[in-house]
Amino acid sequence: MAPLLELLRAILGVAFVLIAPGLAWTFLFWPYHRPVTADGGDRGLDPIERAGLGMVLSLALVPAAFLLANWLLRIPIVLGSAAAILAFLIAVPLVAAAWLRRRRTHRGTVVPGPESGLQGP
Amino acid sequence: VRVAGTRDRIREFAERLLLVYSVGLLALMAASVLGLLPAFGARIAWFGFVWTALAIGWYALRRPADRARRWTPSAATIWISLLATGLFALVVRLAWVGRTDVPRGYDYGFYKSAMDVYVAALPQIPNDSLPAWVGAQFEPAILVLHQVLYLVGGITAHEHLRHLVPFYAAFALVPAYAAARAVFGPAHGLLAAALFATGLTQFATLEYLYAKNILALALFFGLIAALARHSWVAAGILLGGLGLWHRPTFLLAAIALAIVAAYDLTRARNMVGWSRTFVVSLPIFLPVWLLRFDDFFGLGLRVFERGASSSGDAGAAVAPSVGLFFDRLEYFNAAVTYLPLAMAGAALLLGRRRPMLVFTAFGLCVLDVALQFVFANRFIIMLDALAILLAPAALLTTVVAAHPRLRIALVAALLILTGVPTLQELRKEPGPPYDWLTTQQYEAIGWIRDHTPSEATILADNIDAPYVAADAGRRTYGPGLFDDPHTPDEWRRFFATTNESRIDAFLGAYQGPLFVFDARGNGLGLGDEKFHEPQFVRAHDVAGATIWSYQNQTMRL
Repeated sequence: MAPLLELLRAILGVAFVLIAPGLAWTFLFWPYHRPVTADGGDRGLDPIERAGLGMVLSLALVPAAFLLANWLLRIPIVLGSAAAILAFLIAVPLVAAAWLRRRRTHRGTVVPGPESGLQGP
Repeated sequence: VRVAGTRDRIREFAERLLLVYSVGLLALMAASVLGLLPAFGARIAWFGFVWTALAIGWYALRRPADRARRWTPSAATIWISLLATGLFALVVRLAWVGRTDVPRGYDYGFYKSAMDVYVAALPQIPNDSLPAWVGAQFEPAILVLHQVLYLVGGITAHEHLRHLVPFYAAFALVPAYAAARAVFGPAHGLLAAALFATGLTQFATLEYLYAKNILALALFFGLIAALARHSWVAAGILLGGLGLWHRPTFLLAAIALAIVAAYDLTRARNMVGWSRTFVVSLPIFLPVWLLRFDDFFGLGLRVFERGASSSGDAGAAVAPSVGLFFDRLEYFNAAVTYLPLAMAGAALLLGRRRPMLVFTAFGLCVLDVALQFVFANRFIIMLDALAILLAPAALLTTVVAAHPRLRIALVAALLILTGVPTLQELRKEPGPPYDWLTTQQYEAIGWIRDHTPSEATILADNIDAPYVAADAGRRTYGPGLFDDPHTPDEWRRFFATTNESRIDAFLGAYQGPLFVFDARGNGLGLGDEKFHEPQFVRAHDVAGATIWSYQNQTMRL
């Protein structure tokens, strides 16, 4: 494979493995957006926080999902199954987040305002 | 009215005094960092700074800056500053790795060999077939992640360790920003990210190539951020994930969380939330811990102790009691610019009526590092990460808030002084404790890969064996390393002996044609006097390294 294609594959692989799954889960856990200047903590995330938390959620979820798939469900880890597991990890939270958003819209839930000050625990 | 006026004048005077004091001490620290002060002077400056910082903390505790005077950076400031700090962190780390063609960091060999074992085991994730040393030294997460990156991105172990780990080390500042921002605010997040990028201690985690540690810290930052938002399920996932990444960081997080949760539970607060966190975390890490219990807690410790005791002085350096990293004094010098501020930040949090995760974890780390309980030097990495979160709290709620015009100067001075030791480190020539082989010695390992039979076994000392195991592509053993069949006593006798029959008896335990990688320089060697003909034939010779081919009794006849 040409070096450029190899590099492209590596970059896409890193994005697909280390960024996309966690990023998808951030939309489930923190559906609201907030500006980077908002003081203190609230339920929303600014884009930088979303990137950071997305990355660490990927680090937690990807190895756990593959261990579960291989050791418990006996799924062999090949390119096809790896892509399927990653796609599952990305799709599930996005679908759940969309469903929750729709439910909130129907019920007319108000988006929570920012809390401020030191956040615990 | 008269009383209020007097109070205002006293406050104004105290603030000015504090400012003059801080600027003077920053100048003193600058002299210390730049090496213009003798060691004694540096120590005085450090203690002076500590006491001042504690005074700042106490002052902040009594009179925290009101909201109107807090610094709230604009969106442009946040984006530009974070991009600049991220770029600085990345460039410094890539520059360090790129200074030599020889892989940097003693742990490179262990990581590369373990990753290769996992890739060879595909399409399975190995467990029963795992070499004992891999099971003992490695939690599965980084190795499973490598399997996936190899399959999806075609990334080899060498590429992962040389090219991707510096990115991990730089981008861990984003979760650091998220944690400080969630707990305190955006300005704190910015400053925490900048301290992470410029500080020597976090840079050193890459120098030692503590890849698991680097990523576990990122997870820990994420855990702090999630809990600050009361995102209990996300916190549970991150806590469970931490258990798959790095046992020491997980244990620190779990103990700190247990303390904070116990406090909350005694007041019937957040009970449902804490239950969610712990219930979600258990199925993620517990099955792996139970499956690998003997590796993690039984055989693991025995192998580790054997490795340490059988490898002489270098082994003593990695004794399990403290771990291989900066000692306390080295750390004080490396973090001199912000550690006192972190103490002040902790004092600030002490004023809160309930324990917070950051404060509790920081307290646990301080206790461990100060009293040297367990793995104390390695806990300095976690202590430093928490100090980076706490230091902005002291700086931004007091001096900077009180004197907005000097804000930029003070923050710039702090960051420049923090970054100077890191840049000095970058300029150093490659060498111990991060680099152990010269380019020629590393090329000799390539010779083994190209010129020895595939069933050959290679013997090397404890410094060189990890590099040989990683890049020679042959079964490799060293004193107490890679499941070597000998006891520490047998190794000690082998080191000392030149007796041919004893050497034959010792080397008879290895299978296949045997070669010895004998690098002269940083390692302790295997007792050079024994390597001569006819028992050993010189197979390859370069500057600083000889590869000997062992001729057993049958071959000599």
